[in-house]
Amino acid sequence: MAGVTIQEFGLRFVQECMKNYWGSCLFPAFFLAGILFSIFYRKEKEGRVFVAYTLILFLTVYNPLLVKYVIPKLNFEAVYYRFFWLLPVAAGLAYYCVRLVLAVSNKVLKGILAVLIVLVLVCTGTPLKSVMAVENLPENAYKVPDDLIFACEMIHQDSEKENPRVVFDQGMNTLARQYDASLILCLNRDFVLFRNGSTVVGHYTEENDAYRLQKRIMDVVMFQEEVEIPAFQRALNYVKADYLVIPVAFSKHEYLQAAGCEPFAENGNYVIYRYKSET
Amino acid sequence: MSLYISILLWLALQILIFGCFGIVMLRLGKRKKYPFGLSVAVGYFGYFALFECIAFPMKIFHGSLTLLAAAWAAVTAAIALLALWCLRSREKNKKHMISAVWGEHSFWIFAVLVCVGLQCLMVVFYQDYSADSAYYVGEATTAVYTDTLSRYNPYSGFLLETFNPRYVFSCYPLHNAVICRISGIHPLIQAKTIMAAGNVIVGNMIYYQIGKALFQEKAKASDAMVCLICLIQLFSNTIYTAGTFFFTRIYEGKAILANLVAGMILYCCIRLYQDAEDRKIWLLLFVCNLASIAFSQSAMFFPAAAAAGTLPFILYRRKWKQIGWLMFSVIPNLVLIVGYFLMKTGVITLYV
Repeated sequence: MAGVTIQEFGLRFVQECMKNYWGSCLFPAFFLAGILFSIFYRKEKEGRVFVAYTLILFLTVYNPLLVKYVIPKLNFEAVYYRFFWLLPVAAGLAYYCVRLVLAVSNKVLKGILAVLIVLVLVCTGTPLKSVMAVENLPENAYKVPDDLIFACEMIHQDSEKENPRVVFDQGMNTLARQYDASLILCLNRDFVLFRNGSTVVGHYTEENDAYRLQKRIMDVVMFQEEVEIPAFQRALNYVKADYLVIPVAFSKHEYLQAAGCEPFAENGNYVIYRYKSET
Repeated sequence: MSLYISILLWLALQILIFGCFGIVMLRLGKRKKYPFGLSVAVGYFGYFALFECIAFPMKIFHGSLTLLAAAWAAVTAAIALLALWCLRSREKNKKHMISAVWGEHSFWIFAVLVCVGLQCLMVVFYQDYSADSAYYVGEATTAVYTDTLSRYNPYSGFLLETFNPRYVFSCYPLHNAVICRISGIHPLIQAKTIMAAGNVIVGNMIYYQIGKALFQEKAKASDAMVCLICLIQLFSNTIYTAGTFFFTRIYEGKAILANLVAGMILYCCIRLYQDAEDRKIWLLLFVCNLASIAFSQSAMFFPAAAAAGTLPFILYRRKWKQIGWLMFSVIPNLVLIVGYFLMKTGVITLYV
């Protein structure tokens, strides 16, 4: 989990992870209430499975002492949050809600209670708005930007190579080979994520030649920072770049042209540059 | 338009194939009735467990995607024929199907269909740019392009020297590649549209089975539970929750683990709580754990779920023999753990 480490939080690591995992949502509290109901109301038998789950998981993989000493040895710190998937909160909470409604015999009261439960869940939960946001609707059947499809078509029309090497910006770098596996990406995925602030893909320094050289390209293409043109050219030659796909809004188009990049295609959003690498 | 018709047809076909696997598994368990939901839910795991057993050896022995696709098409066709034979000898319902469904569910069937339909629309019409999709989809696209199995780095396109220990066991992306090789559909469409919707449908069928297990086969209570789980997951929004993964990244292997595998393990634990000596459920748990390896390396964590749901009752009721069955059911995960650490520490190296 990004930003939460055992070194920093020690025995509070599990608690911090849980807080980050659930955010401001109150569903775990309702689930706990259901667990207590299962423990103290003897006629409630089926819910005991959820009691068993909770008990064993809190004694083992959610035990702060065990986690503090075992998880770092297994190198699972960054992915520890996946252990929370084991606890069936959604299924358990849904079960207890249905159980509560079934406990009422009057049909009208059942209906009112069901509506109240839905309102409580809606008001105390954190809605996943992104799945209903218009800006997240796909542009095409492949669910990649139309700009990527344009860039791939232009590159293949221009290139004599079957596998041209391409520099993309961060967003397209993730998507390009999902759409077109004939392209070779010049920028390493983990280097790009690390340069953009990720703490879960490893740690890289300028002592790593590959990272140092690719960083120069990222500094220019993604962060529009100052890099001397000869150094930028050496980096492009190192990765054997054939093409660069750069947003129109990029502020250093003249810099790229001065570095030997030749624009040959453009739609409204991206410019495609050709580059002749020197070996 | 023809693309969208293809998408619907391949989605329906894949669901039916899961159902065929389920029918054969239920028949092996000596059942004569094959409820559609249970067949698909169970068959999904049988399908991927068998796929893992065929794809993994082919991968490490450098088979081609074409060979894997041909082999898998033959296996699937054989299972489908077996399923048809099982259906001929099934116990027939005395009531007409529509009256039987209405009798069990009443208006709740519409609530569930609307709920599942909306979920499918959400995942189909959501555009996700997660960094991990570069592996899950890139692996399939690379396999289709190169006609190889995991021999090229999906992120860069370069030939690998050794198999990545983090991904070597996960054959789920190769399944998408196989379907693409057979159908001609692009891997992005297969992964992010067809299988995404398929996983949503199967996931809801698993939740329905959990409801039937908890509410003594009461269909309406189970339907209500399916709708509530959808609502709860839709309102559990952080970047880590199973619900967020379900709606935004259900095409990824780890989202399948978080929702479908976790759900099926819960179902098995509930059934075992009701009857710890039911060997069929222990075998189903084994198959589920074997299939989980195909989805993600995080399947290493899931023996904890199986133990959490079964061990307390085994110990309380002193059913000591069932400890052996519990150990048996998590063998695939233990093999994954041992294999992963042997490769990570360099004791074993698998060359591409």
